[in-house]
Amino acid sequence: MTHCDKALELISSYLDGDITPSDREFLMSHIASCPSCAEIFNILTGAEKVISHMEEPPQSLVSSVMDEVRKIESEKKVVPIKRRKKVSLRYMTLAASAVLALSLGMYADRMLSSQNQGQAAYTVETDEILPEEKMANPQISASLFDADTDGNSSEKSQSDSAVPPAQNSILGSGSPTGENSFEASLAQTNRSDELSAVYSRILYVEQLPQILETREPMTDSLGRSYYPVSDDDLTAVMEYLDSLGVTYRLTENSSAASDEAAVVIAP
Amino acid sequence: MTIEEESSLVQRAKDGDTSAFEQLVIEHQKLVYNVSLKLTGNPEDALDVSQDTFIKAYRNLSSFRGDSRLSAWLYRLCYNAAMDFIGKNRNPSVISMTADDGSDTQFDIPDPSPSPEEQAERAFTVEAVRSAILKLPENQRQIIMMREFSGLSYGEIASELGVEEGTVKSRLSRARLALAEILKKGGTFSDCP
Repeated sequence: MTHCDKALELISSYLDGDITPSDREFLMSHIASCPSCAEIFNILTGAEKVISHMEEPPQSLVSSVMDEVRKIESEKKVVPIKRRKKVSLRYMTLAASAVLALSLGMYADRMLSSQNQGQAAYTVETDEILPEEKMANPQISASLFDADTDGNSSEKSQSDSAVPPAQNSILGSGSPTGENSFEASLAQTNRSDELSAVYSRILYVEQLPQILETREPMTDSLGRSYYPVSDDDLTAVMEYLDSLGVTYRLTENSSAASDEAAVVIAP
Repeated sequence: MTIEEESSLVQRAKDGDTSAFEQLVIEHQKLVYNVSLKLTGNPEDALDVSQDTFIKAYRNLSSFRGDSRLSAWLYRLCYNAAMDFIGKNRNPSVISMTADDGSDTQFDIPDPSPSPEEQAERAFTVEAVRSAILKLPENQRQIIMMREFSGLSYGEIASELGVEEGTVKSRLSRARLALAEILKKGGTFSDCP
């Protein structure tokens, strides 16, 4: 390491006030005799003054935020949310499995009939009872968030969420190329995108899951909507998508800044 | 405000106590506003981003588990909101003011400082630094802003990022040197003493 390399490294410590007296002496002595390092030092000390300077916020900030908060609260009161009956997680899983089995049978019939007729196999017919409509049943869909779990169930769901499947089964609505375009979109997603730096688990989905519709989305620099969610919510969303047979991808980012999770809409 | 007081306010806010949330806004408004201002470069835009940040915080308070400081969580929300705003609005807004003669005149409002010369110079360097920060790669921009505004120590940043403290220091040093190179190419600080 040259003197310049050492001096340039020490500038950062100097700016943070985290420099030993001997290192400070070395730094000051070096920049007194090295114009190049002296220039970098001056630039960074000047920039530091700008960056660290704090302006006072306008007085209207707090009042405008609280006006919006009260508006949000008043809107909640206007449309009360009916508390739904809690349903055991085991019952919900059993019900979801039954729906999935039923929809698999329906899908197989449709595949065979459409192949025989030379038609596309993936068109959803609205006059049939679809998995999505079944899952709109409040007793099932609501229980995804209201499920009253005993210790065994919560341990099972926690262990499942600790090692989630990277990709679920393919069954779902949409065009034959729908899954491929979704996968292509994910493949184009920068693996080190900003969200992976923040969230330790990210669930990428093609469309907004119905159970997140009441949430306020955030938007990342790629223009994608995303929803920070708790661990329990993430598990519930995946179970919901599994029951519908919707494709998703879950990534785990060990270098993320937090243990939080997010659901990203990536069409 | 102590950590315990903050935790109590957060819990009360989660339970629907809007006055508790207001206390949190008051406590953190300076941080949020200045992160917004450093990135948007404009008081009006910074106000919009700040409002947006606090509203998102209110709506998503249930997802804040208290594992990290509230300031760190708000910093992340604010940073994302500011970058989102910048992405959507390529040309930062200019504050419209009515001139003394009653005509509508557009002004760029620089940061206030003692003399007009210092004011003009300061505005230029503030904008230059902001522009340089935005030119940094995302990970370098993040670590500089995080160090400056999240309120986290090197060790806490290291925990957040899941790396060693020494790694944080070296990454920060490289980010600052990259910032200096950008500013140097811009010629902004060439006359600094």
